[in-house]
Amino acid sequence: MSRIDKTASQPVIGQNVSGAGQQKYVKRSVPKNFTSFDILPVLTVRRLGRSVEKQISAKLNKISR
Amino acid sequence: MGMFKSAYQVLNNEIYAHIPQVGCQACGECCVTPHVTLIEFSYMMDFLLDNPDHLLETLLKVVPYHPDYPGYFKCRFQTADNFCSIYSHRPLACRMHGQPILEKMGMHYHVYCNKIKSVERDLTQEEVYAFLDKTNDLNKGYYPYYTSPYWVSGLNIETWLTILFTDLDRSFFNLLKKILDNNLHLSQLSAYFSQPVPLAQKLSLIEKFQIDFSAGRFENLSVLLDKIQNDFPDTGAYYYFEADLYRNAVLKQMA
Repeated sequence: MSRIDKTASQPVIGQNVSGAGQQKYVKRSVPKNFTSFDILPVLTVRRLGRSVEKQISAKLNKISR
Repeated sequence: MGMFKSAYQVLNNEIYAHIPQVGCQACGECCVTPHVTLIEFSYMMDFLLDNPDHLLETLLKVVPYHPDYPGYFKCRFQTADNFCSIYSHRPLACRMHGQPILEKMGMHYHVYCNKIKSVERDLTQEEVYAFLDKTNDLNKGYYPYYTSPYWVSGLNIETWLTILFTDLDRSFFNLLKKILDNNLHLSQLSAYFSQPVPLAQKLSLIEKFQIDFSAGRFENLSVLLDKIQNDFPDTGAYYYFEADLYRNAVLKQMA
């Protein structure tokens, strides 16, 4: 595997930022040290992540009602 | 082979057999512990049952961190001369390593090997997804695969060994342990495994996150998600991308 970190130029992973004492959500980038041995979880979420998204939406709808 | 006999046949004949060989130089630099599914983990461990010395040596091994990839263990199955001690039974992640299609599939942030000079043939994206779907389907047949609240995927070998040899005191993980043990009958060897990863601590945070999320208490969720994603690199990518899905959904909700 390349010793060169090809991800070095990728955006830094989004962290919480504080503003006026309120935590805000910041969309994350991917972590910079993933290797191609991590392909399964990445693709699995691409493939099966819809079931997570559906559940999240259902819960959020319930909460906001 | 136990109850997974037919699953092993599908894994071997319909998935592994169709993945082209890559011209790996066996430098051994890339061998971090790979992510595997339950059926794949069982297939690898089942192979060791035929060689008890190899099995005990593997379990007793204290695996060091990989010097180039912070938070990643080296692979437990890498031999001193950089070969794979379970090569014929290596998992999908290892077989996919070095396949050129992965970079084309938008996984530009992964670190790839630049020493692989040749590949038997180029895979297509459709083939990759077919392998993955088949692997996922195999697992679905044996337990409530990829279900709430734990969304079990992205477990590396060290995490599966932790499930098999420790008591995580959670019914879902007890079920996984039972399924593995019914097939492998290895629980009596738990004393030989001395390197569990902090999965129980991570699960406690996931449970706390789920309780707060369900109660609509969003104010501290970002901190919890950060901890889940960053504080347990030993557990591999487990819940990393799922945490992103939750974060993005809450972001959308708050926008």
